[in-house]
Amino acid sequence: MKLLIKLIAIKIIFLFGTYANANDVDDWLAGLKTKYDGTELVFAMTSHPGTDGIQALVPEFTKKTGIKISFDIMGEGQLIDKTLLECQSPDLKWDVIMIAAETSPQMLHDNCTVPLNDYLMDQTIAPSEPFGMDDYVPAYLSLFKMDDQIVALPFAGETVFLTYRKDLFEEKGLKAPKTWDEFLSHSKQLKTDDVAAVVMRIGRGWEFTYMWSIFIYPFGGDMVDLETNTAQIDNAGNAASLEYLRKLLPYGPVGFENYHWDTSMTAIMEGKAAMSVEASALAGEYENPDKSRTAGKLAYAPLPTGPSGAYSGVWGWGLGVKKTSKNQEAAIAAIAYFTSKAKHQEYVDAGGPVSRTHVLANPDNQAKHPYYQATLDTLDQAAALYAKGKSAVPKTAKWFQISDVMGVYGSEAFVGERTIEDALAQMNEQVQKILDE
Amino acid sequence: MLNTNFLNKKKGGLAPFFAKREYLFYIGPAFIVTFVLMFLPLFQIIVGSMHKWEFGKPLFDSEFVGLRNYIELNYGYVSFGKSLLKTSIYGFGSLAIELCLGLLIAILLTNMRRTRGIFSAIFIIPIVIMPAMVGLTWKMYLSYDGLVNWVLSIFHIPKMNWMGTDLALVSLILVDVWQWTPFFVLILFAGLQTLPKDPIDAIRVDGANDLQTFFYVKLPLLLPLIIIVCILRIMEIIRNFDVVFAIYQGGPGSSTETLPIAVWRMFMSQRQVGMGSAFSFILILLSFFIAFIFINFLKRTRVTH
Repeated sequence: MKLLIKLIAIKIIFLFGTYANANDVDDWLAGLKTKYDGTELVFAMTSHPGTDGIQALVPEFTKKTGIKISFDIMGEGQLIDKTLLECQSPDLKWDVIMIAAETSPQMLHDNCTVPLNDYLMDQTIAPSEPFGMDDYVPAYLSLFKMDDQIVALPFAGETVFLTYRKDLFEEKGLKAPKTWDEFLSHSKQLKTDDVAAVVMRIGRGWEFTYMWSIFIYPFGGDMVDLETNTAQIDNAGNAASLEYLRKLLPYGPVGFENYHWDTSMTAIMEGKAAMSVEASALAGEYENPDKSRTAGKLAYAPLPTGPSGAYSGVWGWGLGVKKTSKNQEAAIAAIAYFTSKAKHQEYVDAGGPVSRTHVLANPDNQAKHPYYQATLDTLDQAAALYAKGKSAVPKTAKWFQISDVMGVYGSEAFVGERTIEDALAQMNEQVQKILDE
Repeated sequence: MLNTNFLNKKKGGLAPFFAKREYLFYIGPAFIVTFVLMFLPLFQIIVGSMHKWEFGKPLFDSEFVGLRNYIELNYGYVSFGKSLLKTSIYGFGSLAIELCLGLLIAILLTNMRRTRGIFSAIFIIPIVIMPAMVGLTWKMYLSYDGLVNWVLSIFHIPKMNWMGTDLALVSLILVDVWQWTPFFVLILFAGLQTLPKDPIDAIRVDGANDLQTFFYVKLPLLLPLIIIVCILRIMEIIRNFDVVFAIYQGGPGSSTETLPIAVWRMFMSQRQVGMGSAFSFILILLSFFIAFIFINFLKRTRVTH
């Protein structure tokens, strides 16, 4: 009986909370309608599950505010290139830009986006409760904060974790690897002619650096020291991590050396790989039975431990407002709404990757999305890296240049075109040159 | 005929100059358009290549570095020498195969009187597909479980790693051959149709067989056309970015880091517009040099005829 009363009480509180929440949101939108009715905004975004999530929220927003939104959707590389090339141009009629975490320092440096801090204090633009500034996963928000200025609002945070096939692991009597050595030994056992043991993005350029940075810190390596402005690449830890990646090469699929995030995702979804070290943002696609043959067959785990510890990183996408936009306030209100605490569950249900704490911590969501617990665990691993004063994405406007240099030499070492020693020495020299400029 | 009498009535100024040079009125508009669209950007590339010019900075606020960008072309993480080598292998490899195959198919088409129309229409299809789409489609075809290996398996040939370091450049040549051989076929087929009949009849009367007729009469007569097609194609291959980027992005390792990919890396990843301009200018010079050789060869063949 007591339990029943408790449940009824919880239900009443929940219903009241939802009602109050809905009222707050309606008040917010009504306020926006009086100020910005008829405004037209252009969102520049890339094809991404997060974009699908945002698009699902648009009809209600437009209906209640009168703000019309159109989307200019392009490939990831094209969006980044176009943004970096033309963000200062008033001729580029974008109001909102989907910004990759790696490029956010550069956005601020190049004066491309509006710092959001002051606007977010305005209760008509972003009222504290339905918006919920404190509810963002702190690590995701920090990706878009430079010198205490908020460049963008995170909406599709990602960390990197381990995905594996439960059925194949059970067949071999294996459990999720706890160390990278164990991961390698699992790879040897899982590789067959039809199924690769491991997939991950490892192709030339920034994607190589993205993945390598996951291995650098567990093996005792480093990238740059921004306090002393020095490249820290030519060291034994980095050599060990590259050596380890090379050892994985035979256990990847044929053509592994040219795998990018999309090929890696496809391999898992088609059941052609037993394990994947990839972005958490892809897991929603893995678990979609309409798209994936392996939906329901996968399990997720935090990254294994290396000789120097277990670390992961955080990446992701945020929404920023272009400095030359003529509708800055309306655009900021729109991105505050789309990334708000009140709408995040709806966004996630439409396929968007999670970036708010209350959705991640919700037990119902954890039961529904088997990768949420692993996401929380790898966020802890990323926090451990932050605690060391390090990050997989160092906050410098030069990171985009640096990561490409590392990814080019790294890829050449990975396929055996260069020795690891030569690659690291060259990388260090080139990165130092970039830092000195 | 343009009426320029009004110019003759006015004395002094530029009128007498233009009165004697009526042709300037005809070529003037075309010259101005060409100058604005071609020479101004070229001038900007040349000036830019002599500055340490970065994105977001106006060109004339950038430091003048003279020829330093050219001297350092081979010392950065993007190697000009390596990229040039990859581009040459890709370019001349594709060109040679496309020419031989194109010529062969054009001759076969000439002998297929009823079905040549259908085949000509089919051959246009690869040419009109967007390069990025060609790249993305072939990325799937070239995967280990893709179409190419499936076709090989029909002939009991073992599957190959087309995405690996060893075969990446070969795969690019294969894709280029698939897309652009039809271009050679269509042009050379049209050329074969318009060859004068007298020399062919003459050598036939002298007792020449088909092979002799082709090598001694048809091929020399086709040579100017072949050279023009080669010039057009080599220009296209040298600046082919979309297909290479869509399939390989320059990798794995540096296997497909051709010159356009290197230029892109300089511009977009390193934001070194000055260095990228130096790469681009050398690419332009290279295209000019190759075109010059072909055109000279073309002149010589005309003299021979």
